[in-house]
Amino acid sequence: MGKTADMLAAIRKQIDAEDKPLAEVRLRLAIVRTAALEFEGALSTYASGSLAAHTMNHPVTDGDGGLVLDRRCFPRLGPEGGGENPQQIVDALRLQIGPLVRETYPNARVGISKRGPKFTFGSPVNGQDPTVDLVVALTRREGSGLWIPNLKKGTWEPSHPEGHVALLNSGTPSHRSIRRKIIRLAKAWNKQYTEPGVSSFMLSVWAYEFVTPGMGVADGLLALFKGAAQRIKAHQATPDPVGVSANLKLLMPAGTVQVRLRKAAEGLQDALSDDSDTDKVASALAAVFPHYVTPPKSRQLAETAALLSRRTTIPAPALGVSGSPVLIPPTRSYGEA
Amino acid sequence: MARPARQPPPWFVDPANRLRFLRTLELDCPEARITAPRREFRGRFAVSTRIEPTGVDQRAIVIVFTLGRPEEPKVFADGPTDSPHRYGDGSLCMWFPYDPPEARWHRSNGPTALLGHIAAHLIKEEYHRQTGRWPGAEAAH
Repeated sequence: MGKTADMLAAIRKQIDAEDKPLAEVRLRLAIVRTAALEFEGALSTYASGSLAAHTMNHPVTDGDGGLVLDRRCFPRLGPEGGGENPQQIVDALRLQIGPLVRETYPNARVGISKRGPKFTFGSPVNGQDPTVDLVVALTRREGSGLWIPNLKKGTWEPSHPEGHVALLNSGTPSHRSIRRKIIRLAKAWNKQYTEPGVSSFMLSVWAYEFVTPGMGVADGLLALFKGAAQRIKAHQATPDPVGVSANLKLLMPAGTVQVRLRKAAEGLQDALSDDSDTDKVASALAAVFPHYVTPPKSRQLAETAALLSRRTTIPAPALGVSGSPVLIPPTRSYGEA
Repeated sequence: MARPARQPPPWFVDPANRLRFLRTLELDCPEARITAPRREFRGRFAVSTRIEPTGVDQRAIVIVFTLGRPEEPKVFADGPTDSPHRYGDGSLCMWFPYDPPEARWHRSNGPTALLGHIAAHLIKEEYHRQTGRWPGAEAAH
């Protein structure tokens, strides 16, 4: 294994979700799903999102799931029924499920998210208090997937959350494992930005498309960055991999996301090009994962020397002096040994 | 014949001033300690601590304030000493003594600023050792 793979493995250790909060969110989702099944007209429930796809990073913030309603029991609901949105159903669900959840979690509260009830628990584990989002979904008369509501817009949208999970959990065990690691790294990369440019689901879809069997973590992550950057540069959209929803949308302007992806690809390519040189790999990966990789001292030294060469004031912390952020003015070095 | 003006005693003669300097320094370097100065500076005020300038290994430093120049600290650091900007006794030449006050450290700037100057100088020295180039301005000898 090369240095790049070693360092990516070290990053993964930093972003690993902790076992206890992970077990806790699974339990919370299971309790909510069980309670939701008692709702009249409920057909089934499902788990979705990163919890079901095994791509959750630290900290564990939420678990996603859905309640599938039998369309025939709610003839006025949905685009294939009377067109009504499910606000009343969501309110009824909150009233029914809330007390059931509070039997286990006395501090639990039920609010509303974009697609259904949102459960908060008021019971942190290792400082993490994951929520549960339950999507209220309707079966479709034609086509695969489900109708899921957009409560903010008062509309219904086709989606196939179970299909997405099935796709992301497909493949041989080794390929699946590699792809999950790549998705988790890509999510960590994306979240380093104050304003992430891509949704976690879109990163997962890119991993599904661009990571092929036989690739390692480093090669696969590079393929994801490169493939996505090229697609955006070519003004091509990313379609829903199961062909049910509309094309996936970026969270920021395409040009910005494309530059970010291209720089990430270049950094990773640089690391792989000097794969046996620890300092060069660390230096290249520090540019891609600044929150997780400390640049080697040689690079820190060069960067700080460049600052000192500019002959302007420099904050003391940039020179390695912690404490109050005093500005250090430039001086003329003198003396002779 | 007028009597020569009486020099005020050095600031560090007052224990309260010494303690104040140390306490402020401890905010940045908790391990800072008042230490016995080198033999030639006996009777002066010296403080030792450690700093880790960006990109440079951790260094033990000693800051000495002398009776002759109580406002001009002499700073000694362990580690490599080859540098074009050291005094004959090995102390760091961080600024040109006759440059305007804004281009030097003054006690009113506080210990953190002094640590910043020391870190900047050690960074310049290390970079010079590795590349042969001195980052920043130099005063002609």
